[in-house]
Amino acid sequence: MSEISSIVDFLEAGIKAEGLRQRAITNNVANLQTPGYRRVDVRFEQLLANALDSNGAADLDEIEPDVYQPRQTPVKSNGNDVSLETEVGEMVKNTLRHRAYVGLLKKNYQQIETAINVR
Amino acid sequence: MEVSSSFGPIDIAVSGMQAQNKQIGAISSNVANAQSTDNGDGSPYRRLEAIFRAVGDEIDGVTVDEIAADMSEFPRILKPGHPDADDQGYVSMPNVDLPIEMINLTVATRAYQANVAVMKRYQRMVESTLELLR
Amino acid sequence: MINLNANITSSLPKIDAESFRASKLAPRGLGESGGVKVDFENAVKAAGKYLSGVSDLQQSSNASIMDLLAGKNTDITSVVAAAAKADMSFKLLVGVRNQLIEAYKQTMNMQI
Repeated sequence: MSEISSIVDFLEAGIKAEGLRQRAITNNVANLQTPGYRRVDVRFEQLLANALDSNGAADLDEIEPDVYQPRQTPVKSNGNDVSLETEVGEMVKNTLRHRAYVGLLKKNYQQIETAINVR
Repeated sequence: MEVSSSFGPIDIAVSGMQAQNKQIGAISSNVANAQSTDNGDGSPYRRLEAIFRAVGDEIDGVTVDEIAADMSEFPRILKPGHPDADDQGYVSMPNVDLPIEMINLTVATRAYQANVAVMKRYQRMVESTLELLR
Repeated sequence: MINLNANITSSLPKIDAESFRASKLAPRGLGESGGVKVDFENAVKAAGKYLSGVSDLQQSSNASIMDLLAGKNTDITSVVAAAAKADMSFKLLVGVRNQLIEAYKQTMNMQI
């Protein structure tokens, strides 16, 4: 049972991180023309992977998705490094990940429901 | 980038869109400067072209290395009163051919749309995979 | 990419054919005394074996979900396939369990 509840918790944390990333992407698109603006991204997967490596079963309380500036994309003449194409691509990826997480979460709940339903 | 990643095709489509974006940028510069007889250093504007290069040996998308100048000859037209005219009254014009630029613009736009189509189709593909979870 | 095999038996835990055949509540058992009892026991045992297979699939599905969340495996197709496989085998297990209970009830209510 602890197995099921933990995977549900992890999926919930993942969905939360995707929500934050969506906000970051929206912010990037809004600042498409802002001089000197550097695009922001959310770090979550890496933090979770690090937490998993150290003790196998990660403690979700320790993992807080954090917003950072990757500073990897080429900077335009106005000091801004947002590319609309990159943001759209990131958004598509984020949406698909979000849908996958929600689907997996739904499947988990459905399974519990099936197990409960004694006819 | 691994090939097995579910998001590889999206990154590749984005790289294609960005490359076509640069190409369209070069074309718009060419069209805007089709009559610029002085580049600032006395010679007329040289036509620019984005040079595409595949990233790595594997499936990794495309990049634009450089925006290269077209080194073909400048056409000369007779315009004796022009401040940039030479002794015979001829002016060197930019080596920009507007019809060719318009064709290139169509090609670049269509290529951009093709990349968008790939991304959309791939998105639908992954979504159909996610239908398995319904 | 994952091999999406349409053959459903390949994606479900294996039960050895012998115990499965023995588990069938065949009419032949009715003639011999105690035949039904033995076969029913085998069926329950086979379901028990199947249960551990389902559990394995469930665990590997959870492991692949964790890999997806941690960004170690970005291939959604394989994760979804693992989850669908585990779900299907679980549903089959529940179905088999329901059938077994039904068979047991019918047997118990039999007029002698």
